[in-house]
Amino acid sequence: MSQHPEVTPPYKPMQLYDIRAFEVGQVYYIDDELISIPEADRTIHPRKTHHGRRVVIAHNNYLNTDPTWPLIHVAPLSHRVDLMRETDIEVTTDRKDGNAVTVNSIIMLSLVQPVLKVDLRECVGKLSRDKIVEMLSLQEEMLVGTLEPLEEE
Amino acid sequence: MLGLIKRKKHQLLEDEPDRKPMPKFTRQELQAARERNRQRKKRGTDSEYMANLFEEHRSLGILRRRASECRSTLK
Repeated sequence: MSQHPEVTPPYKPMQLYDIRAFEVGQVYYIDDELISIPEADRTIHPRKTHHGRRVVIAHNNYLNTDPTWPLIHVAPLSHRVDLMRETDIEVTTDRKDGNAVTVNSIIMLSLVQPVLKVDLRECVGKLSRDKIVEMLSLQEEMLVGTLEPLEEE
Repeated sequence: MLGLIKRKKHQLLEDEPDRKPMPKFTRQELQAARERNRQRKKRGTDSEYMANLFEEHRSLGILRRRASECRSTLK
């Protein structure tokens, strides 16, 4: 069990448990290769992986703080705001969006995926409450089928 | 082994410090957020995207030229 992942993979069974209390909207660093981006990974030009990638805790449920539950769902961030799609949420460096990013970014909700809690490195910030609700609202729309395409200008 | 993990889990739960309560959001907040999402910045056109790419390419021109000069000097 870990309070901070000084442990390195492959993990022993007890090292999978993490007693940190994760909360929706918190942004963490994670090794980029642990994040799957199929449209970039499965092409002939391999994706350039970075040292770390920011991810945001995407779901709001009690398992986030359950130390006996090793998994957590995260959405990766990207600085390519020019590629924003209808399943993305834009986060700016403006304080009204929280203190989660140092450059304007998008949260890619189509890439929400499970990772091990112990693989999450340090918490680097948190989205504002308004941004968290926008993220949850968009995920709800994606889930129930009321998502609307972004209009072209 | 499974028994050990279960015991450890149980111990973890017992030792668990006071946890922060899970954030709660109201239906009204979600509805307002949905409206904000619908009103959000438009995506922009493909031509704007290409213009942006071209501008970035152009702004790196000086660096490219200097790197190229440097490389030819080293040869």
